[in-house]
Amino acid sequence: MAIKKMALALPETDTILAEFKEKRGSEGLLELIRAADRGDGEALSRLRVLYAAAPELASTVSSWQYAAELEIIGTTQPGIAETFAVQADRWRKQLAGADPSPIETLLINRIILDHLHALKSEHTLQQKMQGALSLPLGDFYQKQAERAQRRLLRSIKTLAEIRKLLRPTVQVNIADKQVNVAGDVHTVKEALE
Amino acid sequence: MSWETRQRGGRYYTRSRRQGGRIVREYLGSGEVAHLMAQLDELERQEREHERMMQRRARSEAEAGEAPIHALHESVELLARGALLAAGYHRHHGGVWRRKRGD
Repeated sequence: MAIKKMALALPETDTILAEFKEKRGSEGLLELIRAADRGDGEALSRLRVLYAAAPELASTVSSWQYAAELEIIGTTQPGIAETFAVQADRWRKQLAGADPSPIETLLINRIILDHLHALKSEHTLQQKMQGALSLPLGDFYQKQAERAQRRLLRSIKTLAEIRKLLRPTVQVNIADKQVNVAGDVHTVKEALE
Repeated sequence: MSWETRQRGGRYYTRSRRQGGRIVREYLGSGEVAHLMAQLDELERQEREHERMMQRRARSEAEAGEAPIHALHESVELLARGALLAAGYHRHHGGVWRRKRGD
């Protein structure tokens, strides 16, 4: 028996983009990605059109990320906030390399955000530990710091994966053999140290 | 924990505690010791209430701080996944990304 897939009733590309820019993370676009990931061929075709037509998707999200970054820095003590801001710029330069694609820029900004949040969570934990802190509260702040650290590691892993799969490889001829060499490879973790 | 009044007058301090799965009532009398115990119990009650308030505040602050970061994190993850799908990759058995044949 043939099983009919329900076609997604989605608005046109421009409408999806406009909606995405207006709301943080338009459900239309994100649902499209989920559907494509589940194997929906029509959703995948629409997704290819969107990604080809709109690299500004990445810059829209990047501006939200920057706002979140400023929020973290703004709610930290002045001396430490200054350090955070300087380090964020340094990491961004180190991670970006020569010519990052829009999606790489997005992922790099996410790493910066997650790293700042992890640092801030750790700093909060250290500050609280200096005062009288009950075991349940200490445990709570510890778990918060650990969650932030796990999120950071996931972000690093995704950037490495995207770079491995989406950066063009270069074919080099050595004698009679062709050797594929990956494009500019960064060790992401080393860049954060 | 409470001060109770006897039928023939006078007040005495009592408190209840859990012992071996049962609730046991203690009668502490009406003298100086009873008054001191009542004050200690009240201090402990206030400390417990303060601790509960601190935990509520910590959870609320954490949620307020983490919620937008978590939402952004997930959106970016989906966008990255979309980029791989648009480039012709698919997740093999929901895990490793592989290029589809013919792409």
